[in-house]
Amino acid sequence: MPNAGFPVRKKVADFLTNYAIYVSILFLFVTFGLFFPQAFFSIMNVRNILISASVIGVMAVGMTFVIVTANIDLSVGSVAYFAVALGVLAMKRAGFHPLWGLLIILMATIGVGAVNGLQISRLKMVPLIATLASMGIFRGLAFQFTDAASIYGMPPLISRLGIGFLGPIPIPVILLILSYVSAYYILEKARFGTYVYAVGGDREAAFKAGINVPHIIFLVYLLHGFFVGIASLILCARMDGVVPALGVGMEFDVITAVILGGTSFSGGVGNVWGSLAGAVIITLINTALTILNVSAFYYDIFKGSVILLAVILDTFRQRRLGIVS
Amino acid sequence: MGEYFLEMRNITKTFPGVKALKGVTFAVQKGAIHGLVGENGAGKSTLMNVLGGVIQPDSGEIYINGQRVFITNPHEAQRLGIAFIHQETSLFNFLSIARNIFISNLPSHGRGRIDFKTLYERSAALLKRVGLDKDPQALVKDLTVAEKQMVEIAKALSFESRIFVLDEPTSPLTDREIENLFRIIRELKNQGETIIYISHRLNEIFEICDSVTVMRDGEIVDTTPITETNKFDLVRKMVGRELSMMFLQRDHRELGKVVLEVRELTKKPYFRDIHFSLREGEILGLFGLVGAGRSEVARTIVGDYRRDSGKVILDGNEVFFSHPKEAIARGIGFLTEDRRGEGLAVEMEVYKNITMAIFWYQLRRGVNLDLGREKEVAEEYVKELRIVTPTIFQQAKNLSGGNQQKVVVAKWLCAQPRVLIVDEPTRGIDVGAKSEIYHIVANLAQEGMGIIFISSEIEEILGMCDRVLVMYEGELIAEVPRQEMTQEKIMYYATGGERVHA
Repeated sequence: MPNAGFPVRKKVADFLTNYAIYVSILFLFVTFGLFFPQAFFSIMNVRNILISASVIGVMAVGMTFVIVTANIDLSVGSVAYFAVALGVLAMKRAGFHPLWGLLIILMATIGVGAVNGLQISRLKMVPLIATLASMGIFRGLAFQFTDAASIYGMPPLISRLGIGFLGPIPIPVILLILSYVSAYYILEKARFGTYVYAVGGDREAAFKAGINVPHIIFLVYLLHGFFVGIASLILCARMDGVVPALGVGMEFDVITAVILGGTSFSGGVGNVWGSLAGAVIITLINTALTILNVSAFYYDIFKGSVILLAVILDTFRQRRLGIVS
Repeated sequence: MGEYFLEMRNITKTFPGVKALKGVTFAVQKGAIHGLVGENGAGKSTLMNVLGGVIQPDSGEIYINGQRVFITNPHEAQRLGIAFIHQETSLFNFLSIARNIFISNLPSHGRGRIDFKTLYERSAALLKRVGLDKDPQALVKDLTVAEKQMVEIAKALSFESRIFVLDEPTSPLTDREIENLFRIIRELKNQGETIIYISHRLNEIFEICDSVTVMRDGEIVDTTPITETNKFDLVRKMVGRELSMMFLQRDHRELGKVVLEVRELTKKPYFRDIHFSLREGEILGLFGLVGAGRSEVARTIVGDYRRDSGKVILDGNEVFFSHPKEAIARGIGFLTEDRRGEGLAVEMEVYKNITMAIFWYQLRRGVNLDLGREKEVAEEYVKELRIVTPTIFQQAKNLSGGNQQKVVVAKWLCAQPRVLIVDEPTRGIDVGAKSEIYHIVANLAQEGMGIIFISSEIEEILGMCDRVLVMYEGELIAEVPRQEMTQEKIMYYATGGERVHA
């Protein structure tokens, strides 16, 4: 038996590697609860946390697929702004039916997913650069279309997605849970999911096993686009329209959530539940910083440190899992 | 004809500058274990890559079971029932054993939902067949190398493969694991499968193979039943070429005092307990086949790799280098085998390449650097080593391979080393330039420099060295003085000598 010498130490280390994220959620909860009991009970109850986590959480679903294939997408925040801007303009300026507005938002994000996917899978562009370009282009286009103005006032069909309930459960939370359950099913139970892990784990070996690697990567970006679309809908509904700062810096929150959740930049490893936990952590931190009324500068420093921590964790994990020596 | 299961006819393949396969015809009988042996670069890998669809031959035909086939890509090879089991497995560490076995053919209900019941049942059956007692749901990352090999074989069986190519499968295995592997190979044979077994370990070839093919310089030298040959015969066929006369005719050289000593140097997993000394004016050969650990020894001495244990003693003082530049500062130069990647800044001018390793104080004039002197030095070396370049301002990438190598040599000479380690100094350069490199190295030794000459060409070792150390799988297996050197003897040791594994 390997490692028979240090069963206890190994078990503790294994436990920490696998469950560190859940332990930290508990830690954050307890800490915030102790230090800000009032705020904690009004704002930080589970339901509100999940609602706040829904946008980043749903985006983190698609991002998990992307990162498991050893790719990345920096454009999610800009793309959300772009899609919401198109949808809001269609409804408010052009007078489209809200259902059309909804579809336009989804089509926009899936369309950008397709563009990013084609660039990366077929044209073999470096994902970091390709999506960095998309990040600039689509925010710029959205500014152009909206004149960088805020437009408010969403029809009921849309706002219900953000503030409505189905029974006792808020609709964003339902969307969040549906996204995760379906993603879990795809990754773990469907052939496609196995291919996603294979492509991320060893691209060369996946090719040799007869997997159409570019096609899988393209489909992953397409699927990711769909989830970004769902998140954009929630965002649009909860904002009651579009604002120019929409989605700024969101890519950092989403990527951090995924990495905190145990998905590795090196590809081939990860699971969606970890990403959900990561999204909750990011939301807890964001909320705490808001309650504390921390200055924007400190806010950035703190967020940067969390990303750094996530990457350090990832490196540590990669070493433990033997991906790098 | 019908008796051969696999036939490769008149396969040729030319890489830039090298004829890797010169009309090779290779045939294997059905249900046989067929050994394939040859020196490094004999063309074994190229031939097998052609069979695996990894590279396309320039010409030639492949027949399986009498039918002409066209293997255009690895997946096609797999479809035709050709399975490769390499040292490095192509498994996915973070997928289960079962998913790895069936990665190309996951059983599923409609619409891509995996049929886990079938998947696990069929995997369990295959694992039983290869004698691996593991849960099909276990992740591959937790398996040992030997267990991963078993999974690879199970995977090959799942495609109903008919031809199994095993490329040096035993080098990472323990004796017991090798025994198990051989048991499975023999079982495959009894089930009528065809096996091509590539190994440097001739003892294994004799233990398991029915027949053996020897390759040399891109050609098949001989194919015989194993009963009609022996180890010395095989070794002779592997090396058997005439020594050319391009080396210096040297008399017995006067050797000086010991300049470098290495004691019990160990760096796992590459090599262990390496012990030798080098004297001034001596050319010490270091020979071994791929994976024997020659280059790693050199890299560990100069501090490119960190040693696990052992001592390096230079001029009687123990030294420890944590970076090759420290080795240079103390007088050990290292010419790597990767000339373009590590030895040369190809975009830079010749003179800058030459003076790169020079120490700033050698150019000092007051507080300034004498940059005119830098160019003078470069000019001197260009003349001395007869580097063919229009000017010293030419970019290094525009020089021929041999002249590039001379630039690298000049670079190390600038640092005035007392010990020079050269790793495959003549790889990929033409015959004339080779001869010049030999002369340069021999002259340096004549002037009292200690040289460690690493090569996988026996010819060079015989022509150049006063003494040769033969490495086999990370161990120093023999030391042969000049008087006793023969190609056969060196190759005999390099393929394991008396050592028996399984």
